Amino acid sequence: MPQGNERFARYVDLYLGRGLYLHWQRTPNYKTLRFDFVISHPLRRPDNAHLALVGRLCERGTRLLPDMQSLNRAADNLYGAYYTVDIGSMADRQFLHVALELLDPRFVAAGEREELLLRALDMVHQIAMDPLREGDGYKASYLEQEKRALTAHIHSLYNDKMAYAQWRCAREMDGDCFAGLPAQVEDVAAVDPPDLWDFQTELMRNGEIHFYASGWIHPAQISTIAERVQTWRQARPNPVVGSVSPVEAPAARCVFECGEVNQSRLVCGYGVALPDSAADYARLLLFNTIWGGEAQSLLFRRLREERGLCYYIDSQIDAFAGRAYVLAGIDRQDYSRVVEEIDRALEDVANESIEESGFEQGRALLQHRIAALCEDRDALIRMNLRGHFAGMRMGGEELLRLVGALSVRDMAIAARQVVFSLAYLLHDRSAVGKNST
Amino acid sequence: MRRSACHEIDEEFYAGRCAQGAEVWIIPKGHARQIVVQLRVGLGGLHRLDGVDAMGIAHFIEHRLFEKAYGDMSDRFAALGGDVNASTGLASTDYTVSCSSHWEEHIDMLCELVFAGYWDGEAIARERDIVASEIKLYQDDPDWVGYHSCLYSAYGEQAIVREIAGDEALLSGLDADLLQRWHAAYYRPENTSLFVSGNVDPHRVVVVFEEALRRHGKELRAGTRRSSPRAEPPDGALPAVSTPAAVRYPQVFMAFPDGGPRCPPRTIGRELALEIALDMAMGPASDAFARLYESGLVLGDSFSAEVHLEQAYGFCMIAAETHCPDSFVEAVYRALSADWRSDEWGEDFTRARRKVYGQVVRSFESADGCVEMMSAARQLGGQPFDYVQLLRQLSMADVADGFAYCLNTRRAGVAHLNPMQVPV
Repeated sequence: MPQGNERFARYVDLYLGRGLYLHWQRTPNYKTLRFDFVISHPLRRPDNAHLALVGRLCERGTRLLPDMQSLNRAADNLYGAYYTVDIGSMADRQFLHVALELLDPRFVAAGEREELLLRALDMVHQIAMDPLREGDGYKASYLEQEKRALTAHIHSLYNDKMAYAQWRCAREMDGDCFAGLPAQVEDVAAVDPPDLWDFQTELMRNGEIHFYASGWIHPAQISTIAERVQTWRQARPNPVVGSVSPVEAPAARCVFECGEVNQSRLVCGYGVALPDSAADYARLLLFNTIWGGEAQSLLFRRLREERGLCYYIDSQIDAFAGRAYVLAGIDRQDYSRVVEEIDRALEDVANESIEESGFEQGRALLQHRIAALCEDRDALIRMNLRGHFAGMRMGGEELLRLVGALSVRDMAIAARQVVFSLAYLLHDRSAVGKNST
Repeated sequence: MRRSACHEIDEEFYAGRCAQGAEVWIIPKGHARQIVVQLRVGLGGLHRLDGVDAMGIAHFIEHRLFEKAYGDMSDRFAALGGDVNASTGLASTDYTVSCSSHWEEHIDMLCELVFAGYWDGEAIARERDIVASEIKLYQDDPDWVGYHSCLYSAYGEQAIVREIAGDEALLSGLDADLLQRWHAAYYRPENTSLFVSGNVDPHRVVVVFEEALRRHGKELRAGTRRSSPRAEPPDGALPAVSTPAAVRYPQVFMAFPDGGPRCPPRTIGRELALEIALDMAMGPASDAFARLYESGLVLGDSFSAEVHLEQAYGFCMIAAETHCPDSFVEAVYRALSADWRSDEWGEDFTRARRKVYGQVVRSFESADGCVEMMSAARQLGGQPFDYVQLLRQLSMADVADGFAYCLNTRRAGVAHLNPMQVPV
């Protein structure tokens, strides 16, 4: 059994040139190898609709595996290799993320070990960069079908009332500039085949590519991976430097919307000062844990356990997008009381009126979560990307150290940087108001 | 403790029983940062006491146990960096803590959490509001509504169909006496299992658990492990259920209950056979799925197909958003009605079995995955490594049985969720 001796098996970063980065993590802790291909692009309308469609078309087939069924069968035959294609956003970037996880060759039949890694690498490349095409573009019928599917997916956001409420809140906060995910239906409808192909070509030529490899990979295999990945891009791109634009919080207001719900969904949106350093980021993480992010948080304890005002309440901070949200499922008649309580909790943190024991519990819990990051590949990749896009490198050990140095006063500093912007309420038909502001 | 090794996946498994009768299962993981501990109590929604079933009651007890006279117990877990959670299922209630250190204290606290009841009337009243809010939240979840509606169509009026959190009428009838009675009957060491995975010494786990049980469970009398009643489907399904819901497009949910006169027992082997059957018939690489997607019968990424199997019950569920619910149901029936005993499926069977092998090995990758595997194996009367060994022995005949006794269109329950007016 190979031994791992690093506490945090973080990724080793290597710039390969041509806008290509290779990150690897050699660890015996997994039973799988995993490859992640991430290509990024500025987050803006209507490019978010373009990228969403490119992602969906990645799953429709490649030049060599020309339909979804052949693609899925090829994955199954790699011992159930599991692939996903996702679109994500972070700060002012959006990205296409193709992940493929396959069994470590130690666990497959001896005769099939040799080629497994290269076959998997090739499959990632095909899915991400070599889509099925018809003439000089995407297959038209597939594109039309995926436009319908994406539209249905966007509409179906309404099925999850809390996710819908959060999306509406974010959209109200940003107005026409809103470029969050999922994309807007009108932007999807406007996509035409040549434009989308141009977008894809440009993205693959110039987008910054981060390729992650993790598992019990022999150093010689890392060289093979580096060589192989370098061949994926010939042209020299115009590098796009990750940067974060300041985010301003719009003036405070509330929006009520009527829907078929048994329970009202409240989402309060806030503007947050963007972190300038890893220390700022750590402070925001702990602030969120104390405020509403955990079962020991002020919001959970006060609104659910003490007042019985809700079952579900949660706070979330998207630090590099400069946004924070509080989400709750409430009875509509409790709206004012709940908003007041949320405000009061924020004020109490800002005034340092929180118990030391609650603060220490939050810190211990957050430290456990950070420690657990080293076994969560998705979280490690997000951390690595976040550091790259925001221009601040931070690993798990550093975050642990920074969180360990924080005080109640730091929480007050963080709370004062969280500015209320918008309360959005999705309520039932007999509710408090109609689209009032 | 009995030790067994599975060289194929490079793992060890320890099984034992405490002096007080509780089971202890451990998969040590020397390199893992995370330690996961789950204390399972054999009380779920299907259990009964004095002629009453546990729907609503088991879940309420789970909620209440977190509060003690001195305050909320989760604070004490958090203070040691422990992330504690609980969930109530049909056959058990599971209390799980994940931590990076202090696992001995966490086992002790889990025992206190589970065995030391505090039944304050005022707190019970407050908890009713919280659970009522939880129920309302789920009523807005189309997946939840569809799940229950199609089970109703498959099983009729049985406990398995009811909301695990109960309803307002049931909540209003809950009091300290009733909760205490149920707690005393089921929350007993011999009715619990402890599953642990992470960087721990298995022998030390048993010592710590026995001490904790002595400290927190000593007043509990000895008894026998209680098994839950089984949920068996009627001979044929009830008519399809149609429910208006706040969804954008129509949704169809189909439940295929496991059962029938000659149905084999629900074991790990059967679960694996059903996973393979469902993948061959409706999985992403199947002909049927390709047809459903290409023809636009399935909208977006909404298709799902899952196996739910424990000793007490079993069913497969297939669901999707679709513009043409009837055509979707027909297409699923057609796919499931192939001649699964013919020789033509060899290649598909090999592919699907290989895929499931990959999934099984991956499940042992993390400490929480190992706990899930132990928990699932226990519910099916087996042991975690059975998943690897039984998969090797599985034949196409076992898969064909899966179609005959579970994925059988004659007993399928169907629910349609029809869109109500939604915002533009």
